[in-house]
Amino acid sequence: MDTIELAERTSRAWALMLYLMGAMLLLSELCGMILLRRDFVDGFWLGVALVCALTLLPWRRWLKPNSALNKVLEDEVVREHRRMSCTAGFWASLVAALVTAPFAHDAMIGGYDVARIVATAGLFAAMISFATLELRAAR
Amino acid sequence: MSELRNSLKEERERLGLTQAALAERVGVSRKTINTVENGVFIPSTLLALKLAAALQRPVESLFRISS
Repeated sequence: MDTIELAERTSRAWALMLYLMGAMLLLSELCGMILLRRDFVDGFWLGVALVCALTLLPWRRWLKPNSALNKVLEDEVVREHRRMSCTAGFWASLVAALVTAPFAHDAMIGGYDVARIVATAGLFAAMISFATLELRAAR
Repeated sequence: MSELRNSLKEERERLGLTQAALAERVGVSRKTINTVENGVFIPSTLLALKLAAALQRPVESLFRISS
């Protein structure tokens, strides 16, 4: 298998993993807010959110900048997709913050819940848009 | 409004190259070639010059502005 084919497979697997991680993040947030409020659920959400945030970073380029595979996996289009998806995440966070602000003002939602909603919205939007852009480009 | 058009697909097919083969020559992913060919992604000057060199054509024959 050559570098281009390997990069294509890795990129597709990565995009599917982002969908999965996004779903896990959303479910853990919903579980925390609606069903249970336990330390385990809160800790699980925090762990998933941290991993999700790491998936949006170009760590491949940082770890092995001279690897031929990593250069292909972090080329111009991927950088453009990351930039676009992070912008989508920023706007989703902003909208989530503006929507939850009145409820927090009236003490209907706690500050911790607002932080979780804003973080979940931003990460979810960024990950899903990145995965979608990557899969669409590979068609 | 001006638009960037390209003849990357025609030039690639003229040389009998697949998207993957051109991607390997240039050192980018196949999806980069695909998105440039479809006009979804506008390449940087560096990538445009690399594509032109790989296809043995001047860069201005690959990319042109149409209004």
